[in-house]
Amino acid sequence: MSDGQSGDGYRAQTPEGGVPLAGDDPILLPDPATDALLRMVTELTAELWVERDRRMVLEDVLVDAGVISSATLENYVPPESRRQHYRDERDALVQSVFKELRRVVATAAVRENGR
Amino acid sequence: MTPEQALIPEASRRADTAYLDFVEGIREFVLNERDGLDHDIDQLFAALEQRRGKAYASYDEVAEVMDRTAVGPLRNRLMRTQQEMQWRRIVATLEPKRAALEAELTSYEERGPGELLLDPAFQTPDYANVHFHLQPGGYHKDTLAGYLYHYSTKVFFRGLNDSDAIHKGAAKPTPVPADGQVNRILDLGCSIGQSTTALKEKFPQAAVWGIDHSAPMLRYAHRRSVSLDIDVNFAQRLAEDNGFPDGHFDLVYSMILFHEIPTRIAEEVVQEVARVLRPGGLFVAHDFVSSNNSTPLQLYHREFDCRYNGEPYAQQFCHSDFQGMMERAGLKLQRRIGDGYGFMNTWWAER
Ligand SMILES: C[S@@+](CC[C@H](N)C(=O)[O-])C[C@H]1O[C@@H](n2cnc3c(N)ncnc32)[C@H](O)[C@@H]1O
Repeated sequence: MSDGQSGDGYRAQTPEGGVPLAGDDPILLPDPATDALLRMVTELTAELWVERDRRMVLEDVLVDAGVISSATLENYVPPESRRQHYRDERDALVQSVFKELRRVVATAAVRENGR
Repeated sequence: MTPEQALIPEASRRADTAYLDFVEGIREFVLNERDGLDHDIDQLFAALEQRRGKAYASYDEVAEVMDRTAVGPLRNRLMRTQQEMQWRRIVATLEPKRAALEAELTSYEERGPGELLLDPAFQTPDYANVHFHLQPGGYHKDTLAGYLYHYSTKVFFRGLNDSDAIHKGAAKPTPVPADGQVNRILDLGCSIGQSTTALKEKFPQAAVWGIDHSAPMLRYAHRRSVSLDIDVNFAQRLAEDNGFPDGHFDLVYSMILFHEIPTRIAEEVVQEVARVLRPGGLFVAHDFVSSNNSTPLQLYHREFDCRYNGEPYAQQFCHSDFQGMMERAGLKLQRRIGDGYGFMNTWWAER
Protein backbone atom coordinates (compact mmCIF):
# COMPACT_ATOMS: atom_id res chain seq x y z
CA MET A 1 0.00 0.00 0.00
CA SER A 2 1.27 3.44 -0.81
CA ASP A 3 0.25 6.69 0.74
CA GLY A 4 0.05 8.61 -2.49
CA GLN A 5 0.81 12.29 -2.85
CA SER A 6 -0.11 15.08 -0.55
CA GLY A 7 -2.14 17.90 -2.04
CA ASP A 8 -3.96 20.86 -0.58
CA GLY A 9 -6.97 19.02 0.77
CA TYR A 10 -6.49 16.35 3.37
CA ARG A 11 -2.96 17.11 4.36
CA ALA A 12 -0.88 14.27 5.72
CA GLN A 13 -0.65 14.85 9.42
CA THR A 14 0.93 13.06 12.32
CA PRO A 15 -0.64 14.53 15.43
CA GLU A 16 0.83 13.65 18.78
CA GLY A 17 1.10 9.93 19.19
CA GLY A 18 -1.54 9.38 16.56
CA VAL A 19 -1.39 6.97 13.66
CA PRO A 20 0.14 8.83 10.70
CA LEU A 21 -2.62 9.90 8.35
CA ALA A 22 -2.41 9.18 4.67
CA GLY A 23 -2.22 12.20 2.39
CA ASP A 24 -4.53 13.05 -0.48
CA ASP A 25 -5.66 10.30 -2.82
CA PRO A 26 -3.90 7.32 -1.31
CA ILE A 27 -3.57 4.30 -3.59
CA LEU A 28 -4.96 1.36 -1.67
CA LEU A 29 -4.78 -1.53 -4.10
CA PRO A 30 -1.47 -3.22 -4.97
CA ASP A 31 -1.92 -2.24 -8.62
CA PRO A 32 -2.55 1.48 -9.24
CA ALA A 33 -4.46 0.69 -12.43
CA THR A 34 -6.91 -1.52 -10.61
CA ASP A 35 -7.16 1.08 -7.89
CA ALA A 36 -8.18 3.68 -10.48
CA LEU A 37 -10.62 1.25 -12.06
CA LEU A 38 -12.45 0.66 -8.83
CA ARG A 39 -12.76 4.39 -8.23
CA MET A 40 -14.10 4.80 -11.74
CA VAL A 41 -16.65 2.08 -11.38
CA THR A 42 -17.89 3.56 -8.11
CA GLU A 43 -18.15 7.05 -9.53
CA LEU A 44 -19.81 5.68 -12.63
CA THR A 45 -22.42 3.84 -10.67
CA ALA A 46 -23.15 7.01 -8.72
CA GLU A 47 -23.72 8.88 -11.96
CA LEU A 48 -25.90 6.08 -13.22
CA TRP A 49 -28.03 6.22 -10.10
CA VAL A 50 -28.35 10.02 -10.28
CA GLU A 51 -29.65 9.70 -13.80
CA ARG A 52 -31.97 6.87 -13.05
CA ASP A 53 -33.40 8.72 -10.08
CA ARG A 54 -34.08 11.75 -12.23
CA ARG A 55 -35.60 9.79 -15.06
CA MET A 56 -37.91 7.81 -12.80
CA VAL A 57 -39.15 11.01 -11.18
CA LEU A 58 -39.52 12.76 -14.50
CA GLU A 59 -41.45 9.97 -16.17
CA ASP A 60 -43.71 9.50 -13.20
CA VAL A 61 -44.48 13.21 -12.97
CA LEU A 62 -45.21 13.45 -16.68
CA VAL A 63 -47.31 10.32 -16.84
CA ASP A 64 -49.24 11.40 -13.71
CA ALA A 65 -49.91 14.77 -15.31
CA GLY A 66 -51.15 13.03 -18.45
CA VAL A 67 -48.51 14.82 -20.54
CA ILE A 68 -46.94 11.76 -22.07
CA SER A 69 -47.18 8.04 -22.36
CA SER A 70 -44.16 5.74 -22.39
CA ALA A 71 -44.55 5.42 -26.17
CA THR A 72 -44.01 9.19 -26.68
CA LEU A 73 -40.64 8.89 -24.94
CA GLU A 74 -39.54 5.90 -26.97
CA ASN A 75 -40.32 7.58 -30.28
CA TYR A 76 -38.95 11.09 -29.60
CA VAL A 77 -36.52 12.64 -32.13
CA PRO A 78 -34.63 15.70 -30.73
CA PRO A 79 -33.90 18.84 -32.83
CA GLU A 80 -30.27 19.80 -33.53
CA SER A 81 -30.02 22.38 -30.71
CA ARG A 82 -30.97 19.74 -28.19
CA ARG A 83 -28.56 17.25 -29.71
CA GLN A 84 -25.69 19.63 -29.04
CA HIS A 85 -26.83 19.94 -25.45
CA TYR A 86 -26.96 16.16 -25.13
CA ARG A 87 -23.44 15.87 -26.54
CA ASP A 88 -22.13 18.41 -24.02
CA GLU A 89 -23.78 16.50 -21.25
CA ARG A 90 -22.27 13.28 -22.53
CA ASP A 91 -18.78 14.78 -22.58
CA ALA A 92 -19.20 16.02 -19.04
CA LEU A 93 -20.24 12.55 -17.94
CA VAL A 94 -17.21 10.96 -19.57
CA GLN A 95 -14.95 13.51 -17.89
CA SER A 96 -16.45 12.86 -14.53
CA VAL A 97 -16.18 9.09 -14.77
CA PHE A 98 -12.80 8.84 -16.45
CA LYS A 99 -10.89 11.59 -14.65
CA GLU A 100 -8.98 8.91 -12.74
CA LEU A 101 -7.14 8.02 -15.94
CA ARG A 102 -5.91 11.57 -16.21
CA ARG A 103 -4.72 11.37 -12.66
CA VAL A 104 -2.63 8.31 -13.53
CA VAL A 105 -1.06 10.33 -16.34
CA ALA A 106 -0.47 13.31 -14.05
CA THR A 107 1.13 11.11 -11.42
CA ALA A 108 3.32 9.44 -14.02
CA ALA A 109 4.33 12.85 -15.36
CA VAL A 110 5.40 13.99 -11.91
CA ARG A 111 7.29 10.76 -11.31
CA GLU A 112 8.99 10.69 -14.71
CA ASN A 113 9.93 14.35 -14.62
CA GLY A 114 11.35 13.98 -11.16
CA ARG A 115 13.94 11.52 -12.42
CA MET B 1 -41.42 14.02 8.66
CA THR B 2 -40.13 14.34 12.23
CA PRO B 3 -38.93 17.73 13.54
CA GLU B 4 -35.37 16.37 13.55
CA GLN B 5 -35.61 15.21 9.95
CA ALA B 6 -36.89 18.62 8.92
CA LEU B 7 -33.61 20.10 10.22
CA ILE B 8 -31.24 17.98 8.15
CA PRO B 9 -29.49 20.29 5.66
CA GLU B 10 -30.84 20.11 2.15
CA ALA B 11 -28.75 19.74 -0.99
CA SER B 12 -28.90 22.50 -3.58
CA ARG B 13 -29.86 20.15 -6.38
CA ARG B 14 -31.85 16.96 -6.67
CA ALA B 15 -28.86 15.38 -8.46
CA ASP B 16 -26.73 15.98 -5.34
CA THR B 17 -29.36 14.41 -3.12
CA ALA B 18 -29.36 11.38 -5.43
CA TYR B 19 -25.55 11.24 -5.54
CA LEU B 20 -25.28 11.31 -1.75
CA ASP B 21 -28.09 8.80 -1.54
CA PHE B 22 -25.92 6.57 -3.70
CA VAL B 23 -23.00 7.00 -1.28
CA GLU B 24 -25.35 5.92 1.48
CA GLY B 25 -26.16 2.94 -0.73
CA ILE B 26 -22.47 2.01 -0.97
CA ARG B 27 -22.19 2.16 2.82
CA GLU B 28 -25.26 -0.05 3.09
CA PHE B 29 -23.68 -2.49 0.62
CA VAL B 30 -20.59 -2.77 2.82
CA LEU B 31 -22.05 -2.44 6.31
CA ASN B 32 -25.47 -4.08 6.24
CA GLU B 33 -25.51 -6.49 9.17
CA ARG B 34 -27.45 -9.22 7.45
CA ASP B 35 -26.12 -9.33 3.92
CA GLY B 36 -23.42 -6.69 3.48
CA LEU B 37 -19.84 -7.19 2.38
CA ASP B 38 -18.81 -7.04 6.03
CA HIS B 39 -21.15 -9.88 6.84
CA ASP B 40 -19.33 -11.98 4.24
CA ILE B 41 -15.98 -11.00 5.76
CA ASP B 42 -17.19 -11.90 9.25
CA GLN B 43 -18.23 -15.28 7.90
CA LEU B 44 -14.91 -15.75 6.16
CA PHE B 45 -13.11 -15.28 9.47
CA ALA B 46 -15.58 -17.41 11.37
CA ALA B 47 -14.85 -20.25 8.95
CA LEU B 48 -11.09 -19.72 9.18
CA GLU B 49 -11.22 -19.66 12.96
CA GLN B 50 -13.28 -22.82 13.00
CA ARG B 51 -10.79 -24.58 10.78
CA ARG B 52 -7.70 -23.65 12.72
CA GLY B 53 -9.43 -23.81 16.09
CA LYS B 54 -8.06 -20.44 17.17
CA ALA B 55 -9.28 -16.85 17.09
CA TYR B 56 -7.70 -14.09 15.00
CA ALA B 57 -6.75 -11.78 17.82
CA SER B 58 -4.13 -9.44 16.40
CA TYR B 59 -4.23 -6.89 13.61
CA ASP B 60 -1.20 -8.43 11.90
CA GLU B 61 -2.80 -11.85 11.68
CA VAL B 62 -6.00 -10.38 10.27
CA ALA B 63 -4.17 -8.10 7.86
CA GLU B 64 -2.20 -11.03 6.48
CA VAL B 65 -5.44 -12.73 5.41
CA MET B 66 -7.09 -9.52 4.24
CA ASP B 67 -4.10 -8.50 2.10
CA ARG B 68 -3.39 -11.94 0.69
CA THR B 69 -6.98 -12.32 -0.47
CA ALA B 70 -7.19 -8.68 -1.73
CA VAL B 71 -10.38 -8.36 0.31
CA GLY B 72 -8.80 -5.79 2.61
CA PRO B 73 -7.41 -3.41 0.00
CA LEU B 74 -10.66 -3.60 -1.99
CA ARG B 75 -12.75 -2.81 1.06
CA ASN B 76 -10.36 0.00 1.99
CA ARG B 77 -10.55 1.42 -1.52
CA LEU B 78 -14.33 1.41 -1.51
CA MET B 79 -14.59 2.93 1.97
CA ARG B 80 -12.08 5.65 1.23
CA THR B 81 -13.71 6.44 -2.11
CA GLN B 82 -17.21 6.73 -0.67
CA GLN B 83 -15.86 9.05 2.03
CA GLU B 84 -14.11 11.26 -0.52
CA MET B 85 -17.21 11.29 -2.76
CA GLN B 86 -19.34 12.21 0.21
CA TRP B 87 -17.31 15.23 1.26
CA ARG B 88 -16.72 16.53 -2.24
CA ARG B 89 -20.42 16.53 -2.95
CA ILE B 90 -21.59 17.81 0.43
CA VAL B 91 -19.21 20.75 0.20
CA ALA B 92 -20.22 21.44 -3.40
CA THR B 93 -23.93 21.32 -2.71
CA LEU B 94 -23.85 23.55 0.38
CA GLU B 95 -21.43 26.11 -1.08
CA PRO B 96 -24.08 27.99 -3.10
CA LYS B 97 -26.05 28.44 0.12
CA ARG B 98 -23.10 29.62 2.18
CA ALA B 99 -24.23 33.21 2.71
CA ALA B 100 -27.78 32.16 3.58
CA LEU B 101 -26.66 29.49 6.03
CA GLU B 102 -24.20 31.82 7.75
CA ALA B 103 -26.98 34.38 8.10
CA GLU B 104 -29.21 31.69 9.53
CA LEU B 105 -26.65 30.83 12.23
CA THR B 106 -26.28 34.50 13.13
CA SER B 107 -30.03 35.04 13.34
CA TYR B 108 -30.36 32.25 15.89
CA GLU B 109 -27.49 33.34 18.13
CA GLU B 110 -29.51 35.63 20.38
CA ARG B 111 -32.61 33.44 20.40
CA GLY B 112 -33.67 31.01 23.09
CA PRO B 113 -34.51 28.74 24.68
CA GLY B 114 -31.02 28.03 25.93
CA GLU B 115 -27.77 29.95 25.92
CA LEU B 116 -24.87 29.90 23.52
CA LEU B 117 -21.54 30.94 25.03
CA LEU B 118 -18.76 31.41 22.48
CA ASP B 119 -15.24 32.42 23.41
CA PRO B 120 -13.69 34.77 20.84
CA ALA B 121 -10.25 34.27 22.43
CA PHE B 122 -10.48 30.48 22.26
CA GLN B 123 -7.30 28.70 21.12
CA THR B 124 -7.85 25.37 19.38
CA PRO B 125 -5.37 22.82 20.70
CA ASP B 126 -2.98 21.31 18.14
CA TYR B 127 -4.24 17.79 18.57
CA ALA B 128 -7.68 18.89 17.36
CA ASN B 129 -6.19 20.17 14.12
CA VAL B 130 -7.14 17.08 12.16
CA HIS B 131 -9.56 16.54 9.30
CA PHE B 132 -11.53 13.97 11.28
CA HIS B 133 -13.31 11.52 8.95
CA LEU B 134 -11.69 13.58 6.15
CA GLN B 135 -14.07 16.50 6.80
CA PRO B 136 -12.49 19.44 4.96
CA GLY B 137 -11.40 21.92 7.63
CA GLY B 138 -12.05 19.43 10.40
CA TYR B 139 -14.60 20.26 13.08
CA HIS B 140 -13.76 23.89 13.51
CA LYS B 141 -12.28 25.66 10.48
CA ASP B 142 -15.29 26.05 8.21
CA THR B 143 -18.09 28.28 9.52
CA LEU B 144 -20.51 25.75 8.02
CA ALA B 145 -18.82 22.76 9.72
CA GLY B 146 -22.04 21.92 11.58
CA TYR B 147 -24.07 21.68 8.37
CA LEU B 148 -21.37 19.63 6.65
CA TYR B 149 -21.10 17.30 9.64
CA HIS B 150 -24.85 16.85 9.98
CA TYR B 151 -25.26 15.91 6.34
CA SER B 152 -22.32 13.53 6.50
CA THR B 153 -23.53 11.80 9.66
CA LYS B 154 -26.87 11.28 7.98
CA VAL B 155 -24.99 9.38 5.28
CA PHE B 156 -22.69 7.74 7.84
CA PHE B 157 -25.60 6.30 9.82
CA ARG B 158 -27.39 5.28 6.61
CA GLY B 159 -30.58 7.08 7.59
CA LEU B 160 -30.79 5.29 10.95
CA ASN B 161 -30.14 8.56 12.79
CA ASP B 162 -32.29 10.96 10.76
CA SER B 163 -34.50 11.49 13.81
CA ASP B 164 -31.61 11.23 16.31
CA ALA B 165 -32.70 7.64 17.09
CA ILE B 166 -29.15 6.58 17.91
CA HIS B 167 -28.55 9.49 20.30
CA LYS B 168 -31.97 9.05 21.88
CA GLY B 169 -31.48 5.31 22.14
CA ALA B 170 -28.11 5.78 23.85
CA ALA B 171 -29.45 8.42 26.27
CA LYS B 172 -32.54 6.46 27.23
CA PRO B 173 -30.98 3.82 29.51
CA THR B 174 -28.76 6.44 31.21
CA PRO B 175 -28.65 5.49 34.90
CA VAL B 176 -29.33 8.00 37.70
CA PRO B 177 -27.25 8.52 40.86
CA ALA B 178 -28.29 6.44 43.86
CA ASP B 179 -30.14 9.38 45.47
CA GLY B 180 -32.15 9.91 42.28
CA GLN B 181 -31.07 13.58 41.97
CA VAL B 182 -30.32 14.77 38.44
CA ASN B 183 -30.35 18.56 38.36
CA ARG B 184 -27.32 19.35 36.21
CA ILE B 185 -25.90 17.47 33.23
CA LEU B 186 -22.78 18.05 31.16
CA ASP B 187 -22.36 16.60 27.63
CA LEU B 188 -18.68 16.51 26.56
CA GLY B 189 -17.72 16.98 22.90
CA CYS B 190 -21.38 17.55 22.04
CA SER B 191 -20.84 18.47 18.37
CA ILE B 192 -24.22 19.44 16.94
CA GLY B 193 -25.94 18.63 20.22
CA GLN B 194 -27.87 15.50 19.39
CA SER B 195 -27.04 13.84 22.73
CA THR B 196 -27.51 17.14 24.51
CA THR B 197 -31.13 17.41 23.38
CA ALA B 198 -31.72 13.69 23.92
CA LEU B 199 -30.52 14.09 27.53
CA LYS B 200 -32.89 17.01 28.08
CA GLU B 201 -35.77 14.90 26.80
CA LYS B 202 -34.78 12.10 29.16
CA PHE B 203 -34.25 14.47 32.15
CA PRO B 204 -36.61 17.42 31.50
CA GLN B 205 -36.10 18.90 34.97
CA ALA B 206 -32.30 19.13 34.61
CA ALA B 207 -30.20 22.02 33.32
CA VAL B 208 -28.17 20.54 30.45
CA TRP B 209 -24.90 21.94 29.07
CA GLY B 210 -23.12 20.73 25.95
CA ILE B 211 -19.49 21.75 25.45
CA ASP B 212 -17.24 21.48 22.43
CA HIS B 213 -14.09 23.21 21.23
CA SER B 214 -15.62 24.03 17.86
CA ALA B 215 -17.60 27.26 17.54
CA PRO B 216 -19.20 26.30 14.19
CA MET B 217 -20.50 23.05 15.70
CA LEU B 218 -21.91 24.88 18.71
CA ARG B 219 -23.59 27.58 16.64
CA TYR B 220 -25.24 24.86 14.60
CA ALA B 221 -26.17 22.92 17.75
CA HIS B 222 -27.83 26.03 19.17
CA ARG B 223 -29.65 26.73 15.94
CA ARG B 224 -30.92 23.17 16.00
CA SER B 225 -32.02 23.05 19.65
CA VAL B 226 -33.78 26.41 19.33
CA SER B 227 -35.63 25.14 16.26
CA LEU B 228 -36.62 22.03 18.19
CA ASP B 229 -37.63 24.27 21.12
CA ILE B 230 -35.49 22.26 23.53
CA ASP B 231 -33.96 24.24 26.39
CA VAL B 232 -30.28 23.25 26.44
CA ASN B 233 -27.13 25.36 26.69
CA PHE B 234 -23.91 25.26 24.74
CA ALA B 235 -20.45 26.60 25.56
CA GLN B 236 -17.12 26.67 23.78
CA ARG B 237 -14.93 24.92 26.32
CA LEU B 238 -12.42 22.10 26.40
CA ALA B 239 -13.44 18.80 27.92
CA GLU B 240 -10.14 18.81 29.85
CA ASP B 241 -10.67 22.35 31.17
CA ASN B 242 -14.40 22.99 31.28
CA GLY B 243 -14.51 25.97 33.64
CA PHE B 244 -17.44 24.72 35.73
CA PRO B 245 -17.20 24.73 39.56
CA ASP B 246 -16.09 21.66 41.53
CA GLY B 247 -18.85 19.13 42.24
CA HIS B 248 -21.28 20.98 39.96
CA PHE B 249 -22.82 18.11 37.97
CA ASP B 250 -24.94 15.08 38.80
CA LEU B 251 -24.20 13.48 35.47
CA VAL B 252 -21.37 13.89 32.98
CA TYR B 253 -21.93 12.26 29.62
CA SER B 254 -19.80 11.70 26.57
CA MET B 255 -20.66 10.05 23.30
CA ILE B 256 -17.84 9.00 20.95
CA LEU B 257 -15.48 11.74 22.14
CA PHE B 258 -12.62 9.74 23.65
CA HIS B 259 -11.42 7.98 20.50
CA GLU B 260 -10.84 11.42 18.96
CA ILE B 261 -8.39 12.74 21.54
CA PRO B 262 -4.87 11.57 22.41
CA THR B 263 -4.58 9.33 25.49
CA ARG B 264 -2.72 12.07 27.36
CA ILE B 265 -5.75 14.35 26.95
CA ALA B 266 -8.20 11.53 27.71
CA GLU B 267 -6.49 11.10 31.08
CA GLU B 268 -6.93 14.84 31.75
CA VAL B 269 -10.56 14.75 30.65
CA VAL B 270 -11.37 11.94 33.08
CA GLN B 271 -9.65 13.89 35.90
CA GLU B 272 -11.73 16.92 34.99
CA VAL B 273 -14.91 14.82 34.96
CA ALA B 274 -14.12 13.66 38.50
CA ARG B 275 -13.56 17.29 39.55
CA VAL B 276 -16.93 18.59 38.32
CA LEU B 277 -18.98 15.57 39.44
CA ARG B 278 -20.53 15.81 42.89
CA PRO B 279 -20.03 12.83 45.24
CA GLY B 280 -22.35 10.08 44.04
CA GLY B 281 -22.60 11.69 40.61
CA LEU B 282 -22.24 9.51 37.50
CA PHE B 283 -19.99 9.53 34.47
CA VAL B 284 -21.47 7.81 31.42
CA ALA B 285 -19.26 7.29 28.38
CA HIS B 286 -20.13 5.68 25.07
CA ASP B 287 -17.14 4.93 22.88
CA PHE B 288 -15.34 2.45 20.67
CA VAL B 289 -14.88 -1.11 21.89
CA SER B 290 -11.41 -1.86 23.14
CA SER B 291 -9.02 -3.88 21.02
CA ASN B 292 -9.16 -7.06 23.05
CA ASN B 293 -12.93 -7.26 22.50
CA SER B 294 -12.84 -6.68 18.77
CA THR B 295 -13.78 -8.97 15.92
CA PRO B 296 -11.14 -9.56 13.22
CA LEU B 297 -12.89 -7.11 10.89
CA GLN B 298 -13.11 -4.46 13.62
CA LEU B 299 -9.34 -4.78 14.16
CA TYR B 300 -8.77 -4.33 10.45
CA HIS B 301 -11.27 -1.52 10.03
CA ARG B 302 -9.83 0.44 12.94
CA GLU B 303 -6.45 0.61 11.25
CA PHE B 304 -8.18 1.79 8.07
CA ASP B 305 -10.11 4.35 10.06
CA CYS B 306 -6.95 5.71 11.65
CA ARG B 307 -4.74 5.78 8.62
CA TYR B 308 -7.15 6.49 5.81
CA ASN B 309 -10.21 7.99 7.43
CA GLY B 310 -8.81 10.69 9.69
CA GLU B 311 -9.07 8.97 13.05
CA PRO B 312 -5.47 9.19 14.29
CA TYR B 313 -6.25 8.57 17.95
CA ALA B 314 -8.70 5.67 17.70
CA GLN B 315 -5.94 3.05 18.02
CA GLN B 316 -4.55 4.72 21.12
CA PHE B 317 -7.96 4.81 22.72
CA CYS B 318 -8.83 1.23 21.87
CA HIS B 319 -5.52 0.07 23.39
CA SER B 320 -5.76 2.35 26.41
CA ASP B 321 -6.78 1.38 29.91
CA PHE B 322 -9.92 3.49 30.15
CA GLN B 323 -11.02 1.82 33.34
CA GLY B 324 -7.59 2.53 34.88
CA MET B 325 -8.00 6.22 33.97
CA MET B 326 -11.28 6.29 35.84
CA GLU B 327 -9.78 4.60 38.87
CA ARG B 328 -6.82 7.01 38.94
CA ALA B 329 -9.33 9.88 38.88
CA GLY B 330 -11.17 8.38 41.84
CA LEU B 331 -14.17 7.15 39.85
CA LYS B 332 -15.59 3.70 40.51
CA LEU B 333 -16.61 1.72 37.46
CA GLN B 334 -20.13 0.41 38.03
CA ARG B 335 -20.80 -1.38 34.81
CA ARG B 336 -19.57 -1.78 31.31
CA ILE B 337 -21.88 -2.95 28.58
CA GLY B 338 -21.13 -3.64 24.97
CA ASP B 339 -24.17 -3.01 22.86
CA GLY B 340 -23.83 0.04 20.73
CA TYR B 341 -24.48 -0.87 17.09
CA GLY B 342 -21.59 -3.31 17.09
CA PHE B 343 -18.90 -0.68 17.62
CA MET B 344 -19.62 0.96 20.95
CA ASN B 345 -19.16 0.17 24.62
CA THR B 346 -20.83 2.01 27.44
CA TRP B 347 -19.08 2.70 30.75
CA TRP B 348 -20.89 3.89 33.89
CA ALA B 349 -18.73 5.12 36.74
CA GLU B 350 -19.54 6.76 40.08
CA ARG B 351 -17.72 9.59 41.81
C1 LIG C 1 -17.18 12.37 16.99
S1 LIG C 1 -17.72 13.91 17.55
C2 LIG C 1 -18.97 13.33 18.70
C3 LIG C 1 -20.17 14.16 18.67
C4 LIG C 1 -21.34 13.90 19.59
N1 LIG C 1 -20.98 13.62 20.95
C5 LIG C 1 -22.19 12.81 19.02
O1 LIG C 1 -22.31 11.78 19.63
O2 LIG C 1 -22.75 13.03 17.95
C6 LIG C 1 -16.48 14.54 18.63
C7 LIG C 1 -16.70 16.00 19.03
O3 LIG C 1 -15.84 16.28 20.13
C8 LIG C 1 -15.28 17.58 19.97
N2 LIG C 1 -14.02 17.58 20.73
C9 LIG C 1 -12.88 16.90 20.46
N3 LIG C 1 -11.96 17.12 21.40
C10 LIG C 1 -12.53 17.96 22.31
C11 LIG C 1 -12.08 18.55 23.53
N4 LIG C 1 -10.87 18.31 24.01
N5 LIG C 1 -12.93 19.36 24.19
C12 LIG C 1 -14.16 19.62 23.70
N6 LIG C 1 -14.64 19.09 22.57
C13 LIG C 1 -13.84 18.27 21.88
C14 LIG C 1 -15.14 17.74 18.48
O4 LIG C 1 -15.11 19.10 18.12
C15 LIG C 1 -16.38 16.99 17.95
O5 LIG C 1 -17.45 17.87 17.79
